[in-house]
Parts: sequence; C-alpha cells; structure tokens
Amino acid sequence: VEISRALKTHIGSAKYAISRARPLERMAALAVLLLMLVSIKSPAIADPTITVTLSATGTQVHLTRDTLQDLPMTTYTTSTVWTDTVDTYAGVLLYDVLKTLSVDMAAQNGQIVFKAADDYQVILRFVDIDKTAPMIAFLRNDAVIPPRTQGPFWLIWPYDLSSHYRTETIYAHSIWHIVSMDIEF
Amino acid sequence: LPLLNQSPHAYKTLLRITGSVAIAVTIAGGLILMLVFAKSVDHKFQELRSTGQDNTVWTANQLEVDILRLQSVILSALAENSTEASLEQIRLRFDILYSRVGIVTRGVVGRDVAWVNTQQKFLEDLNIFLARSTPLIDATDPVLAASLTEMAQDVAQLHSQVRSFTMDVLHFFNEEADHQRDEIALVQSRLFLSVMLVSAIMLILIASLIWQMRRQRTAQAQLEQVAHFDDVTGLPNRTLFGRQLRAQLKDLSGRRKTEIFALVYIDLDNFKEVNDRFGHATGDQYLKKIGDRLKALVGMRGMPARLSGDEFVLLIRDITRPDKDQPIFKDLRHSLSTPVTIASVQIPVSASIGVTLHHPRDDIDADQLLRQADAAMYSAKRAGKNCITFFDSALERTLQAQSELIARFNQAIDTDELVLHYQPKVDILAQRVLGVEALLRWNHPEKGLLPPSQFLDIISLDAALLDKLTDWVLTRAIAQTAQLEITGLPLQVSVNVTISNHREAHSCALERLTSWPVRHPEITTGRILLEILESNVITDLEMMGSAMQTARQAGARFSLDDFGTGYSSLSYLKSLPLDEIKIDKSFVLDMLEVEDSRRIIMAILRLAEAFDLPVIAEGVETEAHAEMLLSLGCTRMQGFFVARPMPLSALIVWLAAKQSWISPAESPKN
Repeated sequence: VEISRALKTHIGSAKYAISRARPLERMAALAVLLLMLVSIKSPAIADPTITVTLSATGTQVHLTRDTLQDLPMTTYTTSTVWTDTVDTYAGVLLYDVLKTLSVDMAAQNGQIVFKAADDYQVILRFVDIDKTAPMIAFLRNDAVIPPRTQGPFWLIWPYDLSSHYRTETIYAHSIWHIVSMDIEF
Repeated sequence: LPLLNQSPHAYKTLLRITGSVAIAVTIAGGLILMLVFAKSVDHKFQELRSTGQDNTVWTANQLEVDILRLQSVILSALAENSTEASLEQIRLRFDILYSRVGIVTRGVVGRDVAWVNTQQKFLEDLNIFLARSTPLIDATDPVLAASLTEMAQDVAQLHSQVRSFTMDVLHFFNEEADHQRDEIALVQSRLFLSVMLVSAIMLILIASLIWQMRRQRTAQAQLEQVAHFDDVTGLPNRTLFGRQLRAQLKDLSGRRKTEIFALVYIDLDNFKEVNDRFGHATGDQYLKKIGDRLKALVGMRGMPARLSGDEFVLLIRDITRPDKDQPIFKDLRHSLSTPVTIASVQIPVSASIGVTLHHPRDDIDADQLLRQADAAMYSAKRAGKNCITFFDSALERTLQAQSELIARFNQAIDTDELVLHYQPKVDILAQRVLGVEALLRWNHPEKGLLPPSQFLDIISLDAALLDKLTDWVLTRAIAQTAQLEITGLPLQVSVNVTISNHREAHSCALERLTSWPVRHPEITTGRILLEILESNVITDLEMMGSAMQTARQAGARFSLDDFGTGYSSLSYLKSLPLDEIKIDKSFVLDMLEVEDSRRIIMAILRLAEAFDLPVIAEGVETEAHAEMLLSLGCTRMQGFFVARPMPLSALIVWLAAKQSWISPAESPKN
C-alpha cells in the first residue's frame, strides 16, 4: 500500500509537470515518468498487474489499476455478448496507454500481443486502434471488475455504439484476464 | 397553287419524352426494389453470421480445459503438501473457471447453450460446485488446504461430465450449422427467384412500352402516308411536295449556295383518252406506271409528286449546268414518250413538260416557282403537246402579261367595258330567224373592240374569273332578251359557256352546270340556249348527262358547239340531252374545195337526222356556202352571209328589216 501511495504521488507530480511543460520539457518529463514506471518492480504484490513489454527496447512496464487510474479515464455504457445487462465500464483507452509509452502508432506492422491468465492470446495491430476504442476496462459500474467476471483487466469496445464493433473479429479481440501486453513495432 | 402548311412535330416529341420518362421510372423502380431486397437479404446473412456458434463450441471446449487445469492444480497441490504457490494457482484456476461458467451461462453463448437441452444437470452441478467452493477458495490457506481432497473429488465428478457436455454442444451446433446452411440456400434460391421475377417484370414493362411506342409510330406513319401520299401512284402529294420544295429553297439559301435545281411540271396529254378507252382501273395503272418511271428517273436526285388528275411535278437536284441539253431532260422526254404496257395492251404516252431552272441567286418562293413550271408546261401544250419547254424570260413576260390581263379583265367586267354582240341564226329555206348568238366583245379603251380569241384563253386560266364572266354574260343576255321581247321580237339567245376548266375536278364542272338555272331563273323560260364546246365535254358522260338533264328540266337548253372538231363520240349524242348541234365553221369554210369536209358535214347531218336533232352550220360567209349547204340538206345557217355580229341596237334594226322572217306566234322550240 505504501509503495502504491508513493508511486501515485510521483506520477501525480510528474503529470502536473507534463501538463505545464513545453514540448521539449514534456519529452523529458515523459522519460522521467517512464523511468519511474520501469524502476518499480514488485512482482509479488497482490495488486493485479499487466506486464507491458516494449520489444524494441526490451523494457518492461507494469500497469496496475492505480497506475492506470492516473491516465485519462474513459467510460463506455454498453451491453456485451457475454453479459445480459447494460453496464458502465471505465478504464483507459489503449491509445492513451500507447501514447504515454511513446509508442510510434504510425509504425508499419506495429502490433500488440495480449495474453490472458487462461492462456488466451490475441494479436491487435496498431491500425485497429483508434482514439476512442478499445479501452482497458477495470471498473464496472464504479466497482472493480473481479476475476470471476472477466476482471481485472478487460479489453473492450463500445459494442452498442456501432455495428463495426459487433463483429466476430472484435469479439475475439475482446480479451479478458489480461496479464501481459507485448508491444512490437 | 396553294401548298399546305407544315404539321407540327409537337405530338411526336411529347410521345418520345413520355416514353423515356416511363422507361426511366420503370428502371429506377426496379433498381430500388432490387436494392431493398438485397439489403434485407444481406441483413439476414449478417444475422446468420453473427450467431456465434463457433464461439459457443470453443467456449465449451475451454470449459473442459479449465476444469482439467483446476483438477491438475488441485492434484499438484495435494502432491506438494499445499504450498502457498500451489494454493495461489488453485485460486487463479478457480477464478478462471468461475469466469468461464459465467460466459457459458450468460450472454449469447449462454443462450446458445440453453438450446442444448440435455445438459441442464451438468450446468446445475457446475454452479453448485462453484457456490460450495467459493467460501473455501476465499478462506485462509489452511482452510483451503484442508478441503482440497473433497474439492478434487467434486472436480473429478465434473470432469467426467464435461466431455459429454462438450460433445452435445458440438453436435447440436453442427446440426444447427446444417440448418443454417439450408436456410441460406433457401434464401439464396428465393433471392434468385425474386431477381428473375423483378427482371422479368422490368423486361415485360420495357417491351410493352417499346411495342406501344412503335405502334404509335406506325399509326403516325400511316396518318402521314394518308396525308402526304397519293393513293394511286404512291407518290408524294401536293402537300408533301410543297413542303419539300420549300425545304429545298431554304436549304439553298442556307448551305447549298451554288446548287441549281429544276422544277418540272408534267401534264399527260392523253390521259382523258386513256380513261375513256380503257376505263378507270387501267387509267389508274397507267398513272402508277408513269409515277414509277418518274421515281426511277430521279432516284435520289429528286422527288416526284402527283398534284392532281394527270398532273405530275418533279424536283431534280444537282443540275450542274443551267442549260437544256442535260441528259436528265432527254431521259425525261424519253420516259414520257415511251408507251406503257398494261395487261399486254400498249398505251401510248404523251406529255407536255414544263421545266424551270432555279438558280441560287433567284429570289423566288415555292408558289412562284411552281407557276413558272406550270407556264412552261402550258407553253409546251400550246406548242403542240408531247414536248418539253423551258421557262425563260419570254415566258416570264408572257406570264406577266397574262396576270396583268387577268387583273385588267377583272376590272373591265366591273367598269362595264364588256359588250355583247349578236349574230342571227336563220333557217334559209323556211325564211325564219331562229334566234341570235350572243358574242362577247371587250371594248378596250386603248385597243378598241377585242374579240374573245384575244383574251378568253388567258381568262380561262382563272376559274373564278371565268365564272364571273359567264355570270355577267348570262345576266346581260337575259336582260337584253327581255328587252327584245318587250319590243315584240321574242328570240332565243345562245350563250357560249365553259363548263369545265380542265384543271378542275369534274364535280366543279357539274356543279357549275346545274348552278346556272338556279342563279339565273330567267333561263327557265327556255329562251336561253347554252352552247357547250365539244372539247369541253367531261370524261364521265353519264354524270354529265344527268347534270345536263337536271339543268334542262329547269328550263335550260343545250347546243353542242364546234361539232366534228373533237372526239365527236357517238355516245355524246346518245348520253347528252341536246337541243342542237353546231357544225364547226372550219368544215363550212373549206367544204367547197375539200371533199372530206363536205363528207363530214354530210355525215353529221345524217347522224343528227338519226337522233332527230336540228343542225346549224356556222361560218356561212358566201352565197356559194349557203347553196352548197342547202344542197346537202342543211337549211339552218349562221355567218357573214346571213349577218355579221352586231350590237343590240343594230340587231333591232336588222330584225325590223326581216319582220316577215319572225313569227311572233311561234315560240322557240322546246
């Protein structure tokens, strides 16, 4: 808990710095944030974690609910094909996560390999990611999503918004129980 | 020559626009129908595709995997004496299984699984297991470790059931897939049928539209045919020719600035004879053959047309030189003088041809041009028929003079420049005055007293003027006869009338014939003898005879003038109700020298005797003439020997001297 609180303070101040900074300084601030993220190694913690690997540099980042909550939050209110109710999901856009990690989204053949606790695996290409979808959801109706109902991290799209989000491909991409993301570009 | 005005094309255009719109609407409607249909079919396919049957089968398999893995980690934990790590693995695998069961029982997969009715028991067992195990999983490590043996048994139990669940799901959805394939096939066949149906309807609509348009076009063409083509020859009629001629003139003023074209006016010289000799059916065939010849002659170079009766016109384009020795005119001459063979009978062809050449510099309209060609044709006719005459400046002057004369004569009637002179008709033997013949004179202010020979031919070109003149003569003659009667000299007056202007339809001539007694009721006194020229008798003798009979019953009397000069058909004497025959003066004038003339007079006299018709000889100029006629048995005479034509006043004086020759008691022969 202490570590997490400390991290939160760190990120909060860093974010403050970034928002006030000029482009060059902003880059520097981002680097600091990245370094901080990388520096925190706590594999044994109870907090659910997504291990992010940037294949280009080999660096690893661990995302928890707390770290993610410091990024801009987004909500979808939608039904899904796996549930019987319309719920409000909250989380961060994959786009924002990649941006924070300074991933070049325009990279040709860029892709992310998601892995789940149940060994399910999907590959999502950068071109399939836009500014509004998908998101890594970790709250449902303002409560954390438990592992017993597709938690703690679930990659979802706003299915009710458009028929483009109601395809078999999107459904297959909607991975839950996410434990790792390998970003290859 | 009046030419019909052009008919508008508005109707045709309207028809075309309506047709196009109808076709467009049909096609658009068909396309919209197809689109709507395709959309609905596509929707159906989408629906079929979105049913996640593969997902359901996969999820069922995953459930099996999840149970197996839970079983595996429990057994591992039991073997490893429940280390902290192995218990953590159990908790993870339990959560995953729990999550999977949620998927299997909810949402789309849940609904799919619910269809597989056979496995409700397994799903219940699964939920019971989860409910019973959850508190143990969430409890402390020692509690979980203590319950592992029992949990292992439960999971083993589930493991034994899950295979059959998976297989049921798989089988069910294989069948379901078959069913959906059938449904897709059905939809596809329906789609195919519908497309066929829509296409067929569209085709039928378009075909019927086209058919209707074509039918209307045919009807239009037929109307055009009737309105613009001659029945007998199939050639264009006056209307169409006039239109074509105007188009040609317009064309010339437009793009073909240097082209010379010829307008040819053709009058068949012997058509009346052909009709008389061979009948109307042959006459029609004769005209048709002439028409065909003209068509063949000009081909694409021009256009023949039949104006009326035996009158044709011909437009010939591309005349290279403005001279008369062009081969086309020689060919024309040749084809209009070569006999026609109808039913193995050779019928000679003779035509008077008038040609006018139109130079691009001429500022002339269609009617003027036709008049020029007509004048040239008349000139050919006067030159002895069966020849070709070109319109030239001399003819133009003649034409000009004619129209001036016609205008002047019209004026002359109105200003009373016309007078009637009277020439007595007597019976030498009986010493009696039979009557007088009224002879027209034009008391021209500059040229003096003009006889009819100086103007009547030209006046006759204008039918209306001729009618006006005849009316004037009749009115004047009747008035003066009445005057004579008052002075105690009741005499029959002969008036020369023209019943047929050869350019008119026969019905006009017949109408004229019956109209005189109506317009001049005084004729009914029987004192007016209408003298008709033999050459004036129309083709249809029966019609003419009955018309004359009608006039005669109204009191008119008829004399056949110039007998012997025309066809002098015996049937004239048989068919026409005549009161007198007049021997032409040409026979009388040379009968002293020419034996044949004498014989003709003898023949006419005998013929008249047979028909019991009085005969009078004209042109009796000398005593020798009179003696010869008397010796031949002709006692009725008219001529200088008896008396010259004289004004009414002189006539009264002359009659006074012949008082004894007039028998007041005797009324004119009825």
